[in-house]
Amino acid sequence: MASDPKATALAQRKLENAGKYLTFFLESEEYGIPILKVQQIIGVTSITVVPRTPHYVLGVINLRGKIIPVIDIRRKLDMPSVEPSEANCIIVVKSNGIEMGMYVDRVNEVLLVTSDDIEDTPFFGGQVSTDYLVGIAKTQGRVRLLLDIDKALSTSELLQMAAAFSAGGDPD
Amino acid sequence: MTENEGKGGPTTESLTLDDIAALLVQLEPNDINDLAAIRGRLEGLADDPAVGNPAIRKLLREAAKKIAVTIDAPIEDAAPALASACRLVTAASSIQRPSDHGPGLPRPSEMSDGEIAAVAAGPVAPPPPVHAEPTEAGAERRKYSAGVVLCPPDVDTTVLGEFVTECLDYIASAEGALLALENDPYDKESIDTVFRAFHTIKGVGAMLELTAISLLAHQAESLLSPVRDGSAKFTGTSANLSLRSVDMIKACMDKVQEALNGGSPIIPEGYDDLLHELTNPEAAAKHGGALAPTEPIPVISSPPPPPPKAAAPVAAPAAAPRAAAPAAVAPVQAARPVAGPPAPVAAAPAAAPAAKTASGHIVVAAPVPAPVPAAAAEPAQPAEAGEPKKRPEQRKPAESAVESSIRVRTDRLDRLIDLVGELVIAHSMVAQDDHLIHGANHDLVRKVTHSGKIVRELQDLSMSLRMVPLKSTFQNMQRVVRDVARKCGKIVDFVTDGEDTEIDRNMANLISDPLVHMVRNSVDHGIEVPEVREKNGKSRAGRVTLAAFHAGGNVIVQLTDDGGGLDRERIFSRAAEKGLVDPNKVLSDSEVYNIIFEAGFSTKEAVTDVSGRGVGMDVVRRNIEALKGRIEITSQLGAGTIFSIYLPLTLAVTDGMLVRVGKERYIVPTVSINMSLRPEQRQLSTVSGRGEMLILRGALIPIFRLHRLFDIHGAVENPTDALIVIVTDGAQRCGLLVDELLGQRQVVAKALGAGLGRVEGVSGGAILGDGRVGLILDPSGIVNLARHSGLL
Repeated sequence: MASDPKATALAQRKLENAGKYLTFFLESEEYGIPILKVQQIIGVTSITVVPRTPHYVLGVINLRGKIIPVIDIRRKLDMPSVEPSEANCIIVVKSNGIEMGMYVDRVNEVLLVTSDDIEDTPFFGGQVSTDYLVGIAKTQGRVRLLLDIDKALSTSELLQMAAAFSAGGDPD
Repeated sequence: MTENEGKGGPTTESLTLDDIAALLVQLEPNDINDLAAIRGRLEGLADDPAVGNPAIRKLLREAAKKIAVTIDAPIEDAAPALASACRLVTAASSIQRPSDHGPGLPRPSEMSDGEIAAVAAGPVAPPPPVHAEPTEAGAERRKYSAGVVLCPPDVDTTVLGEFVTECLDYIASAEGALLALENDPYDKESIDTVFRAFHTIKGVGAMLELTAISLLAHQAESLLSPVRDGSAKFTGTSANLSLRSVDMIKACMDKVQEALNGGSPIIPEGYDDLLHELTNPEAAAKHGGALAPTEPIPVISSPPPPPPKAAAPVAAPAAAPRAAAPAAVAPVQAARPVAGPPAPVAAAPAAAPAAKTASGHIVVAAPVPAPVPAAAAEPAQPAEAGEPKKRPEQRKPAESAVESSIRVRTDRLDRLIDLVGELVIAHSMVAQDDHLIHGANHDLVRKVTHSGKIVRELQDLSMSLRMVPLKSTFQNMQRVVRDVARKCGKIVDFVTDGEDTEIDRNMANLISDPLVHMVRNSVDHGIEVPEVREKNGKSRAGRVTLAAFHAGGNVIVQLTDDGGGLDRERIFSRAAEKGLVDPNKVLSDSEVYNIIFEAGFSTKEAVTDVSGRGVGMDVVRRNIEALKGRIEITSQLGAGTIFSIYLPLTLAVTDGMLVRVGKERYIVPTVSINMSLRPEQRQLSTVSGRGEMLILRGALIPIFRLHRLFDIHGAVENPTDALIVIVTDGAQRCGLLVDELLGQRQVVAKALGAGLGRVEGVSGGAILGDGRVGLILDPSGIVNLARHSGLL
């Protein structure tokens, strides 16, 4: 078993992804992000809309004197928007050295995920994008989708857009 | 240095020759105890039969004698004697180590008195006969060939980092002092500053085993030593060599810094050559361009140093070993063509033969113009050639008062300033709270007002923490002027004023590059060559003034030259030629002058390595605009040009006008606002039904509707019910349609977070009094936006 390179790689990846996760809800689905990436959780404050940014960028907020962008993770994952509620909050994460806010429905708990709990993301065909998932954790009989936070909050599209714009093209 | 005392104490028995040489470099003539201990050790070694080579023993005995001289002699004689002792020990140690010898070189076992005297005299002595190699210079050249590691691998990085920081400070002050010295070679304070800098670098460098740096600093120090004790004058050659040493130490520091980041520290290129020139200033004289001696120095004639290659041991013994030390000084002066305040360029070739006869050396008058120190060189009338000239500008004596200060890490400082900024906002949120404003609790209002005062004072103080004087920036320009003037063969008198004006530290760094460009341009394009100036009835020396002062909430940096001025017609025709302007258009003076900031524009016919490629001024304007500043030109043909750079007091605070569009609020930088007005219907017109124009005093100004560009709902649609804010974007004006003006605000500009990248039309954000984020508009970005969106 151990000699099979594929299995070894998988075991390795599981080991890497094991650890504590902060879970939150988007509708009824429960997602997890590595707790070490989470800076803080704040209530929804007034968000200033920034013009001419992609639809999933809600705007910017004042985080104790710092300005950080807030991303609506629902829109990023192509999920429908819902009416705001009291439970909504912003999870401030640091990914690739960049601080960003993640607008979620509600935060649930901190969960320990062992490598045995993690399974590979199944393939759903072209209909469902699983690009942003690193795996699925099954604990306490429930399924949690482990989010690849670096990809989910990737700003490469934004930067590409800026580059395209300064090159004279129109992003719209 | 306690460490040295420890080494120089009773433990001298274990010292090797290398250790002794290193110690001698660091010791001062007044460290009598240590010197006595070393002398004892040297004598012990000299008498020790275990040291087989008689040449070494002889060298060591001579070195011990020199130290004895050092201990007894008055302090002026002690330093050269100590230096000779050091050279003797170095020579001895290199003989001892066979690895230092080229395979083909026999190891000397016997040295004549003359050869030893030659070694003692060191840098200025003629190279001893081949078999008596190595002299110090020879040894060093082999020792520090390129590619050698600069610092030991096991060095403590923290200590090294601090050393680099400290060193760079010293270097900066030394550079400034050296330039000051060129104007006033007798300025005791400046020479002391330079000396202290080299000395400290030498000492600390040796402590950290940065041998290469320490040695270089040592040689530079020895070079200036006779100047310091008044036995020699500060000359063009010593100035050049010192400045090059400063540059080299800087380069070494860069390399050390690289090493700190994990690179391998390689001795910078040119190190060997410089060290060689420092030890042989006569070679440097040839290299750097000779100057005529202005005052004959009595010692020059005796003893006549032999020509370099015919290293005659016959000549050298003339100086007895004991006399070697004073003799060491004399040839230095002879070999260095003394210029003092430099002789005029034109006179240099004529004076060269004089140099030859006086010193017995062939001093080559280099084809390049002799170094023309920026401030000192005035048009010298032939009659007064060779006489030290009075400096045109009496420089203020360098401030000697040492302010008490501590070093604080910049990230902590920035954090503190950020926190104070947060405090200010948090406080204003309390102060503007409805409960407070409309409540009846007067006592609370009073308390809040009181704390508000403290907060404001704290804010002012925190802002001042980052302020630095422009002095060091201006000092760098002095160097630029000097170098460029030399290259162009112009005589430029550089004057600075108001260098104590304070400016944000970041801004001081950012303004430096554009200033270098402008100063270069002023010297290269502005100032005419001496002949032309004379023909136009001006003094031969041009004058470039760099001044800084406060006015109207701005810091103004003004660069003035009394050169040819901008030629309106020439600029216009050139610009028309290049298609930059419409040749039939009538432009105002300032519009014409502004053309020189266009990319690709140059009136200079020939491209030089200084300027003329037409890149530069556009970059200058862009840099200054990035600093939220602007630049204005006034010029008079034939009389000169004034560039005025208006900078905000600090980068951190932007003056802005808060405007409302729909429910959104934006900040328009005040610096770009021209005026605002509510238009009347007759002032408005459209172009092909889309592009809207405002007719204002005969000028057509395009109008951009912010709510359309930014897709904001609920904004005022009818321009006559709204307001138009007219902003200037560099050359052109445009109007922004907004709902209302909410008033002036001073805001702290911040980036929108790296996650968003660049947002067109928005330069950043600021936290408003209510804690919300307001976006700061970027007028030129908006114009671009409008063009690309097809709204224009």
